[in-house]
Amino acid sequence: MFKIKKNILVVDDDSEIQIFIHKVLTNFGYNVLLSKSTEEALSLIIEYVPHLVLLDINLIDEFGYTLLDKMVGLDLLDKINVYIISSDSSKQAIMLSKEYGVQGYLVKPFNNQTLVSTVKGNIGDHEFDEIVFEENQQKLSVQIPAEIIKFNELSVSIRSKVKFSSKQYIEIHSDFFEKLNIPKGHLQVYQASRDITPGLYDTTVQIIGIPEKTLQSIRKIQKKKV
Amino acid sequence: MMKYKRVLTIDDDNDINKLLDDILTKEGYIVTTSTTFNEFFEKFKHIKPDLCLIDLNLQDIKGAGYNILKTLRKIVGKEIKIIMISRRTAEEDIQEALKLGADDFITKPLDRTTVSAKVNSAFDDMFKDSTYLPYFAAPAATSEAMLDLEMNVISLNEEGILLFSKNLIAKGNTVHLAGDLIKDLSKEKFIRGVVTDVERTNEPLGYQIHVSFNVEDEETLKCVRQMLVGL
Repeated sequence: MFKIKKNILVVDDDSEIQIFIHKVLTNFGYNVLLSKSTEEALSLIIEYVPHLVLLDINLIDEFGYTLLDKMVGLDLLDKINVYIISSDSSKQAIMLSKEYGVQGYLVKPFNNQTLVSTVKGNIGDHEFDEIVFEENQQKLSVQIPAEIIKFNELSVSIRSKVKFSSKQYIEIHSDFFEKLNIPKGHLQVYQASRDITPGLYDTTVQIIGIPEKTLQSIRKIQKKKV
Repeated sequence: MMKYKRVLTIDDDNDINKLLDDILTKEGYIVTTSTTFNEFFEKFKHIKPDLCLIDLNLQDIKGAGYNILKTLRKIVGKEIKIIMISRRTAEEDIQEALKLGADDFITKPLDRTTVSAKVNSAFDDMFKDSTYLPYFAAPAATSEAMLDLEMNVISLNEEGILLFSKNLIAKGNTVHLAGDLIKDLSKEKFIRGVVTDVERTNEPLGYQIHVSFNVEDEETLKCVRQMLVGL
């Protein structure tokens, strides 16, 4: 099963650190985004919604905490994981970070093993909350390919990977119906589908309520009996 | 013992009634005819038919048949089969009848095979010998089709969408998703997904279908994450 590529944002104005982290994490299959300022970082967060942010709190021109403030303002800090990376190992720095509620604090310098295990562990634990919809609140159109195998004036037989369980109106897009001028709303599954092979089913679809003129058009294209 | 199905017709043209009687009696149905509203409802109460054939424009009143259709559906729900008959062939007229609950619609002039085949089909007997219509191969050029099924969305997460479906969709299938929710997730008209899990449900009766997003569709995956965090 293909896995979704995880995005990691690195906010650090030290180019060497940027290159180092980018190289290590890209090798492990992550998509690494780089930024040097909290402003740039915020727009990257809004666009990419990364799975993890590695934030240096001691940026040259500003405090990294500014980014955390902005994230709190957008109600993002409890949804997106942030890990502080800093050369400052003082208790105050660590305490302040804890107060914000970040995931952890990595003291520079760190080696690639530490970096990778920290990132892996963190991303492994992280999940975006799902959205649950109320019944009937949100509908989707699901389109599935099918083949029209045979037909007569009353019905068509289609082959597809859908096993219909009962009589129901269905919509089928096909040149076959367009050429006969059979619009939407005239096709009804006649009975439950038949298994052909596992995962492949034949369904008889009744053609409902079409004028005699259209029935004649159908008769005209009947060439090869099955 | 086989129960004979009873058919009640109403048409103000008695020739039509006689024709329907002839066609359907030969198919083994017990046919009663009527020409006015009152006669129809009197006989309806007395016979309790299984199927009614109703002329749409009785007594030259446009759409008079719709009223009988509406009334019947109110009284008996979906229990009785109702087929409308009409000289009118316009799509709006047919759609109106289907919307009001007609099971089918036959246009005049009446074709014997069409009438008997449609009545048989209404009784789930489409393949009855007497009206069996042979099948023909669909022309190769137009045999491709797309089923368009509407489904309720149960939930959305980073990996995909959970849907409720009345019908089973085989796992491993690629599907296209479209609709309002998808408009918020992509600039394209539809997005591709793969059915990765299918679970039967009893209430309501059907299936929970999980459709996974295409992991290479970075644009859509971004929009999904944005939606999940409320951006």
